[in-house]
Amino acid sequence: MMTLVALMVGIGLSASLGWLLLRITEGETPLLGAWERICWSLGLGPTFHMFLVFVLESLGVIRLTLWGMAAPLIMAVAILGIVVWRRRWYDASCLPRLPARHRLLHSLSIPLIVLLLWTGFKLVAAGTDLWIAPTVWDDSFNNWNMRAKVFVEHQAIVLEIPGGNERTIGAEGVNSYPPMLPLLKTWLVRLRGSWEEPLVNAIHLLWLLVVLGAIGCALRRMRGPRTAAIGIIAVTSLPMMLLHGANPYADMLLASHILLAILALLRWQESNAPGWGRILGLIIGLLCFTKNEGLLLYAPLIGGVTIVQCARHGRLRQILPLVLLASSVIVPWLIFKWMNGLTFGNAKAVSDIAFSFNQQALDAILFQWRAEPNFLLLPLAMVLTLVLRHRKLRQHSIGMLALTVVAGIAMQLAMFTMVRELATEAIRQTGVARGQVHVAALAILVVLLAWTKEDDEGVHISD
Amino acid sequence: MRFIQYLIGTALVLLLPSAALAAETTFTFGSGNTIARWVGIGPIEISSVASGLRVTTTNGTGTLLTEAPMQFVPDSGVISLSSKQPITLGIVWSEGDEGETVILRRASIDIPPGERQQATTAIRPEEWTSAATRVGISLPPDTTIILHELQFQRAHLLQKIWHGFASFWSMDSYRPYHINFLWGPLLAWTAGGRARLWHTVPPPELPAMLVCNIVVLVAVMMLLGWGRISSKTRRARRAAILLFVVAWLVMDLRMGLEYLTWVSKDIQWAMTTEAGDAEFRDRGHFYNLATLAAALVADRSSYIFMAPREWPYLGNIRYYTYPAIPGRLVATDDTWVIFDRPEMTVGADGRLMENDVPITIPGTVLGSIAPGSFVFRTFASPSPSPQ
Repeated sequence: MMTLVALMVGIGLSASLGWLLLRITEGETPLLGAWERICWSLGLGPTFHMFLVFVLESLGVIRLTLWGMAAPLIMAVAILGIVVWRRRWYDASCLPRLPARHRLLHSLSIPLIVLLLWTGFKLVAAGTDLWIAPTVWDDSFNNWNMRAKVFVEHQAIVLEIPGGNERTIGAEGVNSYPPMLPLLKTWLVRLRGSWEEPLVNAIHLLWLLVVLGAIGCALRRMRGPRTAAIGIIAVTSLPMMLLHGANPYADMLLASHILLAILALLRWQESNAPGWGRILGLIIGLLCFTKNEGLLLYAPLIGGVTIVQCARHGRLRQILPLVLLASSVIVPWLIFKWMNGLTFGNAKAVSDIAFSFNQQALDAILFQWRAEPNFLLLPLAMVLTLVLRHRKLRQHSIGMLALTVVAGIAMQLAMFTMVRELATEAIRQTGVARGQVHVAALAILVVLLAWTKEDDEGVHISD
Repeated sequence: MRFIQYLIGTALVLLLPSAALAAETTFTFGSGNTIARWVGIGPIEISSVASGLRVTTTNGTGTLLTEAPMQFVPDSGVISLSSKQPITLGIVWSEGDEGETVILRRASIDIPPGERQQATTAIRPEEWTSAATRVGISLPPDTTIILHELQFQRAHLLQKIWHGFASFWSMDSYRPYHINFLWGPLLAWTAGGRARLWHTVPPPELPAMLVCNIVVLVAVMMLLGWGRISSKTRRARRAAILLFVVAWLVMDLRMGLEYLTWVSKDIQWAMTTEAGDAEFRDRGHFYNLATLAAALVADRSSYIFMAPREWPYLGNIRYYTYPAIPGRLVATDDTWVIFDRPEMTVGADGRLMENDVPITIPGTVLGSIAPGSFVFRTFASPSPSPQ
């Protein structure tokens, strides 16, 4: 019970910082609805909290003790809270609300309710398994959980971990990953007072719930509660998404941040409110603090799409606050990497990479898409959507979304078939599907937006 | 009424000829059955007993063969035997006479110990050549069994459909690579194929997801094409979307149930109270040992660790026992954590032994999970505590 309390308190405290941060970043006009705000705070708050801890620990201001990790949280909440209080930005009545018909949950049909119950059952099973299963996966006991244990033991961010059999793993390999996730586990352990396996593993379900919440809120706003329910059911039905939400890996953490960034970009396109640009900048920065792929792959992709969209709409001047906010996270992290000689790859140094096309890798990836149920019929659904709904996709926001998903998958395809070291991973199937976890929720969004009508009025039957 | 008549008629049309295509040949051993037609090749002895045929091999692989009377190509082999030990034997088919026997193919079959254990294996029809003149079994060295029955089968169409349906709903176990990908449901059309599901990686059976993708794609294209031709575009598109959704939901149900079976097994493990009995997925009782070891080496900076292989056990136990680190410092460390090494025992004099050869000074077993999995500490000075 105390472990569960520590988990809830730890998430809640970090999420409260996220709430304040989002409110400040929005500016005068609140942009997020009530439920969206909760969901986005849960996703971004812990990352921002751990970023503050990382900066202060790197500067030698704090140690990774309970009060050391709580201090930046308390100070940031106090400062941001005072600003929000003085400007009365806490007033819930000012939050954007959906039209009445969008809030009618009783519009859900019996089959949808049954499927939602099935979805809920799977999520409960996922949470149960996270709680009771020992730490069994490679990346958990070699990277995320192991580094957290080292941080707890040393009360500091340490870049060397023992490998066993008189070996040491230094600044290359797993230590080159951002310390966000191990720091978050350290925070929870400090709150609990002792290392508990259920505590450090159960946190991982949070990011699947953030993905589901964000998808649900976005579809509810753009279509209606029925489509939102379908989106939540569809994402949870993808076996790889459920597995990664139910296991202590970092791919769902990255997926949640990518999704929030794209949703922020979508909203910015639709509304032109500068607050969305600032939120997008903040998320891009935090995205780079989750996994190395965030910095190397997705930040450039999302940044590139953003610049193109802003150029098309004559909004290039609004890029500056976005760049400043993103840089406020990325620059300290890059300085840290440079000062400590950390590599810039996904456990492989970019400088060591060799390029050559590998046909076997391409065959392995195509086999995965057509013959493995990692994402059920989503690959086929995407192809049919791109072919049959191309007119709809050329509409403003959906087209950008589809382009981003396709570009993300194409970049992964290029990486796995052209980079020799990664081609081996593709042939052994140890990395491709995990890369697609990052964009699968976005693909569901593309398919549903392309095929459903606004106001939950059903599916597009005619063009 | 007419629909029911059509249904019965269709079933009869399928059943009668397909039933004729089903086939089975059975060799029964025991009282009243002659062994004269069976020939042993290699270090093998056979004798008839009341319940079957006693077959014993000594210092090499032995093969037992008879003439192949089948006029069909089998797709499954079924064997019934009694054995005191678990064994892996082969169902073989060969060509040539006694003097020059050439084993063409061998289908492996695993038999647990016990009385009248039955097991089935797949015989791949494309591997069965018309040159096969004799069939039988091959046994590993130093094996004694009582063979009761050997059967070769070929399924008919409805049986194949049933096997395909049943194999679709057969669940895989939770394996280390499932964090990276899933094989998903596989389609096996024979009893032997179903018995061998998930035994080989990559699995040779047909992936159901591939069939699903092809069927859905073709059906959607046909529906859309029909819609254009018949000018019933809306109805066709509605049907195509419905088909897609139904296929998605069926696959979701299948994969969701598979995941739930994994979780239910994990829950059973968590609720098992006897540490030695609790096996977690493919790791056996490793986590019980890791929990025990973590408590016992908490006051040590390092210890010696032995396991069947380094991955995944070394990294995993290092995680569980940190800050105590596993290693091989036999000269200085006093604590040995042994996992699944049956050749490691403790002698009567208290010394740790490997294959009955002492390798340490006397000590004591601090805790044990199962034979070959325990924590041992010598009576030497302990290694320094964690810094």
